[in-house]
Amino acid sequence: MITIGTRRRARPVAGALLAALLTAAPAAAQSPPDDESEAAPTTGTGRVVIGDGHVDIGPRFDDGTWTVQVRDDTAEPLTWRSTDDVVLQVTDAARVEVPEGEEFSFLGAPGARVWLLPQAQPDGVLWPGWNSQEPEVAARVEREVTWQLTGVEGPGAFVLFLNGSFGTPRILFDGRKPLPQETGVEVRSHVHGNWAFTEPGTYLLDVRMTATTKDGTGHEDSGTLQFSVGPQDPRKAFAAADAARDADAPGASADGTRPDDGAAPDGAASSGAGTDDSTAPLWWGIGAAALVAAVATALVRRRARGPRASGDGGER
Amino acid sequence: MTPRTPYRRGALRTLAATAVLALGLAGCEGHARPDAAAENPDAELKVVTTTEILADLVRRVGGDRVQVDSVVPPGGDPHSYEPTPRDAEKVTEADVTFTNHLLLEEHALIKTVDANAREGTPNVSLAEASETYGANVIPLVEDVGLDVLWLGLRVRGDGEARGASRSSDVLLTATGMTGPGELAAYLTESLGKPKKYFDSADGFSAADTTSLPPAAHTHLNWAFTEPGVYELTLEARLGNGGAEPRPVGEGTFTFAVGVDPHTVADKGDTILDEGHTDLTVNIGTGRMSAYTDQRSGGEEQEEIPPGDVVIDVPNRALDEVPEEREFAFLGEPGAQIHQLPQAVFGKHVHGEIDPHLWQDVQNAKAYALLIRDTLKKADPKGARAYDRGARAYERELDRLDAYVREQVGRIPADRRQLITTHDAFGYLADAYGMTVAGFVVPNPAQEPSADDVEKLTRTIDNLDVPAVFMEPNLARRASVLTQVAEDQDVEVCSLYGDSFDEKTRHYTDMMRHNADELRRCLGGPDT
Repeated sequence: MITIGTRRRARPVAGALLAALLTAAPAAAQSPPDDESEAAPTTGTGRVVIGDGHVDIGPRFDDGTWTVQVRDDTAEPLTWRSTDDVVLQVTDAARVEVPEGEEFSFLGAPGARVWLLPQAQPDGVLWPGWNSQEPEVAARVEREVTWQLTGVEGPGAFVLFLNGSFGTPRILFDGRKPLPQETGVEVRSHVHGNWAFTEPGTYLLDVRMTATTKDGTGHEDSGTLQFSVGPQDPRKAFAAADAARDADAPGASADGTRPDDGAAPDGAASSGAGTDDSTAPLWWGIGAAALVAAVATALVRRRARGPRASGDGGER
Repeated sequence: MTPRTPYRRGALRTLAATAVLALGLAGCEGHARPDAAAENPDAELKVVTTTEILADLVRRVGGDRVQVDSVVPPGGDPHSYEPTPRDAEKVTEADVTFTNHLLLEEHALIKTVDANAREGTPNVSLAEASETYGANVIPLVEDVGLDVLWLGLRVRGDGEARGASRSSDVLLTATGMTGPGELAAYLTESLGKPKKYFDSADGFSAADTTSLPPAAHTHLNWAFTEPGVYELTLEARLGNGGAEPRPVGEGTFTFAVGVDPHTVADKGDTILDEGHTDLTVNIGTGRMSAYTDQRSGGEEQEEIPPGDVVIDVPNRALDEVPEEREFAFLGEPGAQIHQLPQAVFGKHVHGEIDPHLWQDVQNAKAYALLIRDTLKKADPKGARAYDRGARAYERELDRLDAYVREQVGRIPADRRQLITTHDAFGYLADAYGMTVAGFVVPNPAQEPSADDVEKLTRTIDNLDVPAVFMEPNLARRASVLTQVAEDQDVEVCSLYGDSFDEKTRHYTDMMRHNADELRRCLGGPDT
């Protein structure tokens, strides 16, 4: 229920008054499947920093090609985006203290402060989940999607865990342990977990999603989830990811910079969103999402990472 | 496939006969093994299967052109059978090998087949490969406590007519409950702290209220301290701005806790026992409902009025109150409660399927078609014979499928509860409308714990089942089930799971026996 099997609209609260009203409120809002009918038909363009509201990681058939993307529910209409175009921001509002007892010692010593995006819908922080509900995925995939963590770069530890009914943690991914690690996502399911980071800074999580469709064809794609944790300028995560990609890309210039680098961050800054609640959101639920319309930049970048895309994308 | 000379085949056969004789003298687990070579000496193909059930299917499709041998002997248990050197030899002689799936056969058995199957000969794992032939495959359940309904709360509708906006607040309050025990709905947060939403133990008051924004939904643990029927009334109010919240709607939901929901449901009611449901208020229509994907098999959710659903909280959902004091509101540590969990992720083993596919006759048909195509490839000259064999067998399986469906269909709906020695009947339940109410252990190779026995006892007691089912080949290991059955004064009947015995030698006979036995033992006074 299934997994799962096996859903969501996070309607994050922007104003302080509402936040107060909702302190005893929603745990795990998940979108009704028919939400997808409201989805933008094409992959979103431009870079965004999302620091509040609901997003999902998941596979999508983008014009027929299996692609790992981020479903952005803070956009209207909801928009699937390239992982490269999204920084998921974990603000200091997500800091918690590690409790006493052995059970949560994997997060650090009791009393240590860590950044934790919770499984149940939090107020005022990002709420990332993962799903296999994109209509074409839901219709075509046999049984389940395999989700692998293949690489972790960051200043501290990254752990993704779930809670049992009485809180007992069950670890899905632990960046300190040998990679790759994998878990399954039942088809037509939507799941939330706890995303924990032990130090502030940029984290780049390489993920791969694979599945077999009912016609027996294998599909595989990889992407890098870009997290910015703590008080730093979240756009640093774009820069770090760009640098990492450039280092991999065969034709990259020696210093790892490209003329278009920096265009998006400027755009993000000018949009004025960030984590600043004083900016009135354009619609309820936009939270701290910053939309950057840098279409030209995105096109250039897409060409630049050509070899990577063709190596990972498509059918297995 | 490498061509071989008749001479070589003959030599091997002599060797094989000698080895079988030696093994026969030394004795072996299970019953006397029929000599496959004697059965059909002029066959075109030598086929080795891991189990007797697979061997029977191959014989029915292959007819005289195949000589089929099963590695696991009659009455042997594929979950624990240890292969002998002779088994390895038999595999090297085979032109085609069929296994079922790793989780059915002992690992050493699969290794014996994979390591000894001659290069170039087809070695087919039927369970997964049959999916492309239309087999219905179900994922392997890891945690039966999570294999239950996922129940939440939700707000739908835009409520514009009531002045609702995105900043509105929908208040859901538990205003009344009847039932044999207490009901608590709560959420356990990331670091293990529970947050109560509704708790009847101290009576319902304004405190038993939760607030959701429009279009939101939330998942909770739903805990019940005693088995029986509960009715919970929820009231929804809408708050806009600072004004006093105004009533929107009200609904009373019925929970069947540990008891068969069919005994509670009225005609036409929907029993909610899997998938995802939210107790929902629609602030547009002002109606409460169960917003559920039950009737669409997970495809989409729809609103069903509260009075037309029964929420099943089965005995699979039995759990123990933990020791932490934060959970004391649920009862004494160690007390048994029934609980629908706040998250169901992890109920299945990633990448694994339940291997007992043939308990759904339609799946046996898919196996037969895959066997046909495999045999045709290995022996193209026999293509027509294999087509004929498969067609005839398909017709027989269709009749069998209808027969099983009819027999189970005659059992009153509230008595279709399966309690077995091991978890081998998920497909039977799925295909023919039974409920797997419980088993001693998931896998017959495991030993039951005291907790398993306690849970089994409560399940039999709560459901008031007339019979439990034992697999004939596991009789020696079924002492726990027979003891509990004796204590509870219920009949012990038999169902064939993974193996035949000396009485039943064919798949079709086995399934007919299962259907007859289910009806005889559960069927009620009119049969």
